Amino acid sequence: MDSPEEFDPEGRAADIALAKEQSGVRRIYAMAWSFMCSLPRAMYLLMILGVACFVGMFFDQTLTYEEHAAQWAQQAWKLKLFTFLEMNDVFGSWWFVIIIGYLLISITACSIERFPKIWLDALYPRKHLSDQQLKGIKQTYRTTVTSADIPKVKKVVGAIFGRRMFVDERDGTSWFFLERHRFARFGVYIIHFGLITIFTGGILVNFTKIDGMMMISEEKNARLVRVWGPGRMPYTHDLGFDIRCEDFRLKTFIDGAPMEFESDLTVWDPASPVNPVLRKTIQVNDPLEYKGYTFYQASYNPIPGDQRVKLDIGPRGGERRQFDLNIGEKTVLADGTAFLPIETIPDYAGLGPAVRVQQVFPDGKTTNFVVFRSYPTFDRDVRRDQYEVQFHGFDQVYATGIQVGRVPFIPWVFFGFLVMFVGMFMAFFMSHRRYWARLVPAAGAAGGYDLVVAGAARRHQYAFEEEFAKLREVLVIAFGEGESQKDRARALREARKQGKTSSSSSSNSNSNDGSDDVTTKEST
Amino acid sequence: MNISSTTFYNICFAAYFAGLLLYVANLVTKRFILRKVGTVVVTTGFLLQVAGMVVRWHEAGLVELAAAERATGLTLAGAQRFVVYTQHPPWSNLYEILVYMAWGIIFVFLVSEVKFRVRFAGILAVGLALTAMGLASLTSDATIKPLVPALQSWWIMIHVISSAIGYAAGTLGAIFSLLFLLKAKQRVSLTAVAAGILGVNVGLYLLLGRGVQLFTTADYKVKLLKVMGGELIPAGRMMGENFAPYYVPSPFVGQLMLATVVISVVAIVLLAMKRKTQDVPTGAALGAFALAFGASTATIALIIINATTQLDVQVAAETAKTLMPPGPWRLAIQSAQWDLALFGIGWVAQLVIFLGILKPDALRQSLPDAARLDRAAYYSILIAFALVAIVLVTGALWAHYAWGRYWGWDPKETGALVIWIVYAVYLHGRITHGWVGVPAAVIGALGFFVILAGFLGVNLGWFADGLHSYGSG
Repeated sequence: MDSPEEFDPEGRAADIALAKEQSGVRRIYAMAWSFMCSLPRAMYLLMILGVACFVGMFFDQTLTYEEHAAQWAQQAWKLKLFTFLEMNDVFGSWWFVIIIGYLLISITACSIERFPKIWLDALYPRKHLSDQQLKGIKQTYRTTVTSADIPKVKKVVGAIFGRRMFVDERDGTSWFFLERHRFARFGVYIIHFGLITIFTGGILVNFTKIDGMMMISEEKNARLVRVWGPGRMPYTHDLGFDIRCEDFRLKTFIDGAPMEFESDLTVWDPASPVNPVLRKTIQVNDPLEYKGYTFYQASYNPIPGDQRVKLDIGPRGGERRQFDLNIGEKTVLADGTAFLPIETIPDYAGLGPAVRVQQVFPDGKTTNFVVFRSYPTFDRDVRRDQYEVQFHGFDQVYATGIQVGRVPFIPWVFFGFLVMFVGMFMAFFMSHRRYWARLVPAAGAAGGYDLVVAGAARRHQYAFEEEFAKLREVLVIAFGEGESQKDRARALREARKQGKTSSSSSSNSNSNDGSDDVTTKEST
Repeated sequence: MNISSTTFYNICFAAYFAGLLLYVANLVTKRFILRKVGTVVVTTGFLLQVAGMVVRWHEAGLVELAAAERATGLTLAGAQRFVVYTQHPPWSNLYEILVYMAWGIIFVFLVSEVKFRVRFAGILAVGLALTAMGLASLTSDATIKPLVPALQSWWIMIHVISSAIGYAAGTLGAIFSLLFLLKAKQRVSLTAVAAGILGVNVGLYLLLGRGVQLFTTADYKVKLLKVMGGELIPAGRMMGENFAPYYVPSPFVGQLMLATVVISVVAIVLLAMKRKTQDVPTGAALGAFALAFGASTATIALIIINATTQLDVQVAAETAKTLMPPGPWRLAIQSAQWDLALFGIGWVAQLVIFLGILKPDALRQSLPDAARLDRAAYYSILIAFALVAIVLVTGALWAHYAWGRYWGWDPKETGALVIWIVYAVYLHGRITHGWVGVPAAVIGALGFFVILAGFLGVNLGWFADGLHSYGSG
């Protein structure tokens, strides 16, 4: 976005004045336009959006309305307020949508308002600056030369400005002009265009996407997807074809934490002559795609019941044998000692999966103990019996949890990302700069010429200051010190104080330091 | 390899600490050589940290290989082995992320040292890096565990690299902004800055004192810990609920915090009344500020004293019933490490402004000119803005390929978005709204707390649990 001083204040004031003269619909339209184009308002809205995001972070958005209500909104008025503001779904609530929508319209309006003016200015830059306009430029070099110096001036300026310099000579006055990276100033508009693309893409995605879950047991088919609709209302969506989970494999670390899990899926489509149509092993980060749907490996669930416990049993320090036992199923060893798993515990006091085993001695006495999968030597170290038991885990039937997504407008959103980065590159790494030089016969002394070299950048003011300082060094070597810039700055400040005509923001008038603002006022 | 990554990190911590001392000595004695030596020492520490991270990557690679081979029963070789070996970068849990953030801060600081040479920034930047590393050493879980499936992606590299450097650039931007506010005499008085810093401090006390609870029960609660295998573990962790730890009140801290808040508010009012007329507060305003500073010092001291002296804590009977393994329960520094770090940051800011009030000319002379500070802040935040954009977009791409949605308003995603919005406001305000200087510096300085909330808040359980909760304090 560009300096408001340059185009905006007068333009908008004129708009408002015009709007007040008109009546009826046109007046409302003009006022609304001016309202939407207000940059300060858009910025305050941006801050409000930030606060709204924080609010959304404080309320757990994964809980349902009932869970929230049970947790803290027990009082009637709290619940009413909670419901009214849709705090269980902050990012889809009416007020959040209003903020986003306003911002979207505001960005669009601001861009439409300013873009044509910038475009015109980029196509037809002011190459001839008046005295008044030159005065407004911060980075200048002024000196007086004699007429004998004119070829030297042309040579030096030509050398500094380079091949792409514009030269115009009229009535004894010479104008030189150079512009660099003039399209860099469109970077900001490209960023905004990218943002609008992302936003609109997001809205389209929201209306068209399918985002659901299906749990498929091993060796079972499924074609219905559970989908969270608006307001987290669940409904089912028919895929129109079957997904079958052939096999699910879970690899775990020694402590039972999942390392990798994968499912062999097949697609059975009634529309297809050959079935299965497709076969793929999916993993986290490696989904299956079919007919615009993407199937992601998301989770898994052990199917309750039907568990077999894997136990290694053997004499202390001796060779152990592996047993696969159902709950309550007894295994009897050679000396008459029997072991049976009596209970499985998915997580024993945070120590991971465990199983409670009963040992029946040959004399009929029994004892119970717990063995842990995460601690293979636990039983040997702790119980110190003549037998040692190690628990390997359950042989479990699983249901694979598959997230089903269909996001038809995703390329639109990704295109927006790309556009935004192109814009950011242009805005941050390229800097629009303009240089002017003017050689005009001096008013007083005969045969003398006033030389003014000026430069202005729209952004990266500090870097430009350095750049101009180097340029100034060359000019100083060629034509001497010239008019002191400090004197000039002081003179300008005093003139401004006396005049007090400028109503621009206070930061401009405040001396040189820290000012990143564009002090070029070509239009004044 | 016998030398572990921790050894490197310890030496690096020592180097940063030496660098900090040298920077302070430079400020006191005004000898330039000290600062030069300090920068050399910090650079050495930085290189050691890089070496440590490489070693840790190697260690993690061995862990991954061992785990994969144990799980599959195969010996990996060739490309497969390489993929498994390199898939676990040294920034995958909270401990590593904190160390990595310290690395990012030092990296950006060293770049700024070449580019802008801001005196004083070294003390704050290295201090923050030390705080982050200290917190890392206090988090109980420093061991390398194999990566969870969702993190096994190459997007993690670019996503996390840009987030660390981006947030570090934002942090440096905040430091430069604060220094700008101290320096720019013509634009903002030290009185106003002092009021602002006290205001931020009150905000921290209310937030970490859990707001209403502080006023209704005057309780300040800290985590309950238990010794398990030589390590102190929060009670909540054992219950399998990382984000609902069990808390007990730290005696008398709540009352002291309440007093601090009240005194600070009085001081803010007194300072705010004088903000236009007095550059340096005098009389009642100065007294109130000193009192508020003293009160917050006492609060922090009491939290530390309570934490280190209360060896065995009595737990209320109904709480004890719900705690699975029986006592004894402990308090320690780890009970309130995050709160202490944040209070400490607020306290250091108060200390700096207090010294500034006592010796305003000495402080301002030791700082570079306002233009340079403003410029350093502007460029830092520009870089932060661009990198946070990369974080958001790579995160969206990664989420799309891993979870099937590119944006889900997960707390951490939203946090990054808020940080981006704050910097967007900064840049727009600056370029188009004439918010150069003081307003920009205020946004830039407050941006640090937004980074803290957005980046670490989720890991610390300030917000709802989300998909990014791979590590917790």
